[in-house]
Order: sequence, then structure tokens, then C-alpha cells
Amino acid sequence: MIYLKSVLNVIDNSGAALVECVNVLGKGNKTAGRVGDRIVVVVQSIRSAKLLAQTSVQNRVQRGDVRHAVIVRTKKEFQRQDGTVVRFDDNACVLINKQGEPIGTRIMGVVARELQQGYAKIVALAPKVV
Amino acid sequence: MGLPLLRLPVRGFPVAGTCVSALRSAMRMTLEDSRRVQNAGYQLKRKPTKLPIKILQPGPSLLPKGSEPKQLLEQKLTQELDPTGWRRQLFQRSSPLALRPGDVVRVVFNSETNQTFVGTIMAIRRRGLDTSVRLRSEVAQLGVEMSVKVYSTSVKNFEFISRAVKKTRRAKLYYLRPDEKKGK
Amino acid sequence: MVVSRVISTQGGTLLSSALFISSRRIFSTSTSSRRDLPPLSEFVSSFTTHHIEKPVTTMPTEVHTNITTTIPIAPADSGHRRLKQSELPLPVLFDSQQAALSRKQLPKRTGTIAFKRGMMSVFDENGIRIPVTILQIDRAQVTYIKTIDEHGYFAVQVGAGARHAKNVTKPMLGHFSKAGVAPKKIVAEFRVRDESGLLPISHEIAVQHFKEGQFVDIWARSKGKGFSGVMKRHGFSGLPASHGVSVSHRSAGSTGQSQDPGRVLKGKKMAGRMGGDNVTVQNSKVVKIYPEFGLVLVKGPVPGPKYAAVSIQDALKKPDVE
Repeated sequence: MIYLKSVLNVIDNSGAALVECVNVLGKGNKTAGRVGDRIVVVVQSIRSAKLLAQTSVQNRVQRGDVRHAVIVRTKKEFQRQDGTVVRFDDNACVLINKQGEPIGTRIMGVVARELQQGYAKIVALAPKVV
Repeated sequence: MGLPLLRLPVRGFPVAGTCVSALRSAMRMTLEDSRRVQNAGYQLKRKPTKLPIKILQPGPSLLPKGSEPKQLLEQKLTQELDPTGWRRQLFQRSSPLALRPGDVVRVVFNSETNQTFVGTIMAIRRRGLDTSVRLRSEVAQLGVEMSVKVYSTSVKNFEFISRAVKKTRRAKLYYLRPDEKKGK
Repeated sequence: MVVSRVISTQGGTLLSSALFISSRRIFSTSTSSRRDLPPLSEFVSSFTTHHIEKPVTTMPTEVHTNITTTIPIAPADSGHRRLKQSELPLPVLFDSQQAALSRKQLPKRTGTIAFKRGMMSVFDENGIRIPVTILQIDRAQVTYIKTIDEHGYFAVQVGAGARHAKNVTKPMLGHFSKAGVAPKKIVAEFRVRDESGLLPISHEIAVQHFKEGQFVDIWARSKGKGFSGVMKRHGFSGLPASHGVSVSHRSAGSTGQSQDPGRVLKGKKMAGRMGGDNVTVQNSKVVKIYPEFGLVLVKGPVPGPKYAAVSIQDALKKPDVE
């Protein structure tokens, strides 16, 4: 359930660590964002440069940048068509550009299988998919 | 001027099959046809000038008396979805092989993309055909919970990995979740 | 009656086109405010043939042939110069019962009464879990049929369930006796498009009346909620929890303006009886039927409490079952 002001972890090497949601795209203002939804975020804090040695400088984001992102994990449980319910321990997203491609080149941590539709590249990059 | 509202049927607009009584008698069921839904009954006493009222006895309902359709269907569907009975063995309380909270199991899914999920049993929700088991595990240092419908056709198998180290004193192990207050 | 004057031509020849031109003019003047009024000829043709499923685009020539055959024409040598007004076919009024009937969309086949018996879930062949409502069709039989000649429309009256004869009134016992069925718990009427939808009296409507995969409309009386406030009944937001609000946190707030209009407008949403209305669920899919138990599983919820009688009929807005 990602709304305005929700803070999410960023699990790629784009440079951002925490982002704040400012809009859930393609939904009314009272509908929560779920896994696979595109959101607009503001970068609140960035990772230290040491961890991002292999990221090229022009791909790196700055604090205060407004970017698009896709939700990859939510604390709120979501149901699949076969009745299975999945829930993660945090809210997380991956920064993307306007074309829907990830800004970073690596993804750390688990993502939901629901991203296969529309964000197959993120699923391919992720080390673990649930 | 007001045109008069037309009476029905309208003169000059004939309708096919207008002879209602003939239609009715032709459509009446034969006695043999109706035997399943009703049996011969008795006749009410009336004045000889009036038409007799014949009361028929209703036949039996297709559902056995006093049975709940939901239970009936669940029994039937359980047989279909779990013909060998291994699911019932794992999740019926009375079974010696029954899984308990704290046990570690692996769920094997049927689909090619969604292969397995290993986790500790947090809770078992026993609701007949809707029985589900809630598993918790840590995948890449992150807690993930999954509740799986036991009788789902997408579940191929539950593989038992280990029993709980000690019998848990609770039925629902929600304390396995991280303490939010402590974390902050 | 301008129309009748026009037709009374000598020698029995009839200018039916003149009839229509003149009658249409009457209509267009009398109902000039109604812009969506279709041509009159379409009404007449659709009604005379009772083929409502046909789009109302009958050729004008067909209309003429229909009309000329049905109008009583005096023979040339009969000596009659003029037909009586009562013998003449009158144009169908837009506001008449007859025209309304031709516009009405109705299912081809009859529906039946079922009893709601709770909900469960099933898995389909793709492993998708579907929530279903269990409906029981219990000894449903046709108790009466209604025809256009006698009643003005086509309908099938269906009775379902079973009731002990001592708990049934004598008029109803007579009704069931006439139909040759055992006393029923409940009786309801299902309108059908034409006489092809009528079924024999005392015919049993079993579960096989419906096919797996077809769509149905289901309607029933919803659960009564009693006297409910505006937040529950109409989804109002209520008043704030603080900022000086006392006692009226679930209040409706203002119900209108001041001296002008000086009253609460009609239809204002307020607290009152909620539920107990007729609710229709359209296009529910029939997921599974169990002929051995007389049970139908339909996808999704159905209005009403458990054991309630619900009406179930082919969906209006989905293609017919052949």
C-alpha cells in the first residue's frame, strides 16, 4: 500500500538508498500502489560512493531528484490467482527511466514475480524472485 | 385529441398459437414424467359443485435430508483434488504425520517459473477445502511470508524438512516477525 | 381521428402508404419534443411479428404487406362505403403498452428459482481459485404460463421447494392442483421474449437447464440492515473526530441551504432503512453444475442471506445459449 509520502528502499545501484513516493501513476489519488505499479519518487538519501564503484557517473542520482520507479516489494500482502498470498518485510522499489528500463545495472535482493509483466528486465537482473 | 389506449390483443394483429387452452393441454406433463418430483396424493373434500382440489405429495429433494451442500461438495472435491490423501495426512490434526507450527517445509509448485519455497510454518488455517499454511523464510536477508492453499492444484508437493526444535507453545507464530519498535 | 378518414376509400382499395404518412405526421406533431422517436413503421412491424430480437430495420415494403393483409377490407360490391372505426387498425402509440412491449429486452428462455446455500471456492483447470456461491434448484416446476393473448405478455410461472399442504392457503392449493404439481414453497414469474420460451405446465426445471460456462443474471432481496446512518447507508464521510466536534462524529452535516429554498430538497440522502431491496447481479458465470445434487455454482456473490430464494435467468447482456 504505497501512497503519497510512503518511503521505500531502493534495491538497485542507481545511487539512491531511500525514496519518498509523491504519486502513484495510473490510479486515482485514493488508490494504493501495489507491486508492479509505477510511481513517481523523490530521492531522499543516497548510498555512499564506495558501494557504487562500478556505476557510471552519469547514471547516478542525486538527493532531491524526481524519478520514476516501480514497486517490487510491499509489506502489504497481495494475492495471486491461485490463492497464494505473499508478503515481504519491507517496501522497496527500483528506479526506472521514462521508457520503463531500470536506471541501475544491478539489483540487490528479492523481487516479486508479478513484475514479469512489463518489467521482465528487472526480474532477469534480480538474484531471487518470489 | 387523444387516441384511445389500445386493448390487448389487438384486433387485426393475429398471433401464432393463440388457442391457449389447447396449448396448455398439449404442454401438460404425463404422469410418468412427473413421478420423480411428486407422488400421488389425496383429494380435498369440497362441495360437489366445485372443482376438486387434488393435493400431490412432493417427491424427495435431490439433496440428502439435513445435509449441507457445502460440506457435500467439499467432501467430493477433496476426493478429486487429493485422491491419495497425502494433503489430508499432513494437515489434519488427528493425523500422526500432521505438520505443526515451527516445522520447516518446502512447497513445490507445479508451474515452471514458480518452483519452490522453503519456510517455517507460522500458522495453519484449517477451513476444509480452503485450508492454508503460512510459511516464513528469509530470502537474501529479507523476511518473506507466503500463505499457500493446501488443496490448490498449483501445489505439487509439500516436502517435510525438519520438525520444530521444541514444541511451540503457540498455534500462530507471529512473533517470528521482526519487532518494528525495536528496529527503530 | 384523422387516420380513419384517410383509409375509407371507395371500392376497398387501400392506400396504406397514405395511412402511414398521415399517421406519422400526427405523431411527429404531437410528440415533437421527443427527438429519439423512431419511425412509426418500425414499431408496427416489430410488434406484429413478435420478433423483438430482430433489429428494427424492417424494409418499408414489408410493413405495407403486413398491414394490407390484416386490415379488414370491404368487398367492392358489398355496398359498404365506409368501414367502422373499431374495425380499423390503429397506429401503435409510442407510449402504449404494446410499443413498450416491443421495446422491452427479455431473455429467450425462462429462468428458475434457486435457494442460496452459502459460498466456497473452487479451482479451475488453470489452477485459478474462483469464489463461488452455491445455489440449490429444488423441485422447480412450471406452475402456470402467461401468454400475450390472455395476459398481455409471455411469462413462465415457476414454483420451487416444497411446503406441507396444511401450511398452504386453499386458493394456492387449487392453483397447484390445476397445474398438477405438489404445493411449492415459493412461486415466481419469469418473463420470456415469445412463446418459444414457454415450457409445459408441471415441467421440471432441473439444474441442466443451465450450462457450465454460460452467464446468468441473478436477483434477490438483499439482507436487511435495519435503520442505518448516512455513513453506512450512503458512504458519507461523517464529521471530524476532533476540532470541536462533539457527539455528531457520524452525522450527515448540512442538509441544504437557508431561507432559499427554506426546505430540504426531496430525495436528500438521509439515515433510514437500509437493505431489503431487490438487487440484481448481472453476468455471473455458471462455474459448475451438479445434477446429482441439484446444485449450481456461480462465480462471485449473490444478494440475500443463506437459504434465501433467488431468481436466476440467462444473462440479458450476453449472447444466448443455443
